[in-house]
Amino acid sequence: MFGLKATRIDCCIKGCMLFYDNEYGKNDGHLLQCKFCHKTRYHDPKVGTSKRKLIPMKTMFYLPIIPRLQRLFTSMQTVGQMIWHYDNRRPSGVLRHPSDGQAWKNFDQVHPDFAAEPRNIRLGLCYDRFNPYIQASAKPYSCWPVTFLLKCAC
Amino acid sequence: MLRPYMFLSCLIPGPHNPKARIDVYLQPLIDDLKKLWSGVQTYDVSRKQNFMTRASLMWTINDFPAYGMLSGWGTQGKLACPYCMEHTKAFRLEHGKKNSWFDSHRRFLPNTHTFRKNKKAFTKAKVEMGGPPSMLTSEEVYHTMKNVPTIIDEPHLSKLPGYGEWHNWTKRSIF
Repeated sequence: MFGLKATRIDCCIKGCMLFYDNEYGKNDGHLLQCKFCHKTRYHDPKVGTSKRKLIPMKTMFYLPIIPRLQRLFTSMQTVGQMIWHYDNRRPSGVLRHPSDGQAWKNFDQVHPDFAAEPRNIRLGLCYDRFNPYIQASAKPYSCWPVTFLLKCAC
Repeated sequence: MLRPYMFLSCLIPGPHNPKARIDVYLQPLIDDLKKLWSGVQTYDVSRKQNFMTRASLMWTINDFPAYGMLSGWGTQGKLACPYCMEHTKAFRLEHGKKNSWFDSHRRFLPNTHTFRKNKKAFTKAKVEMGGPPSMLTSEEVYHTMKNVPTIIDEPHLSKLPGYGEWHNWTKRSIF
């Protein structure tokens, strides 16, 4: 039902821009050069090989979050967990879950329409660096995964 | 935190640290978050109905260097503390020539705390009377940064005037 795809997006080798389109007016998917530093998007094709696929200089992986969130509501095992914070409300003074915290309560006050639906999702974004190859290498390679945590589930 | 409730969303390639240009790679993510804030049609299997689910990003979880990259307040130098900001009590050691945040924490204590009157254990002969610095609201942050271009419009943004002197802002954050 949901194909949990991973998309690859080409980026400028210096990290100035992404070659992609979105619904908010970005239309860079067709460009062959970076708009800012004018570095090329693809490696130069080898001489004598006419029908070769173009190889991008650098790509990032993007795993769309919307189908992943939707999938949680389609399984009986996870759907109950999505409103755990609503079913298990604690008396004030007990701190056991992010929903007991001041930030959560303050957010509910500012956005009452959001708080009215317990199935609405609250996310935390984790961001850190890791070195995928040898730790003590002379040329360290740094990779940066971005992970989402669901704060409503336990 | 169980495994089904956390998922990888972006993998930003190296080989170098993206630093402030992290915002460039977060663009597809922000697009999805915008869509989720206005609502996405979802099927709820327990009630057998479709409904509009919404999602909000409430927190970011990161270490201190990554904090500087995401928030836009640089976490280096004398003004590194993102709570005290320009009201910091950091000073430079006279001989070691390093920045020190010694005794910057006592002002966060309750007013009647005994440590505030302690003249021996902290800075000598000093009674801490000041309160904590006021917290910035999102409107205030927006007001300070609204004239600064985002990294997406200008990836080669040079240092903002006054950086390290009276502020430590590096960019306007994408969030």
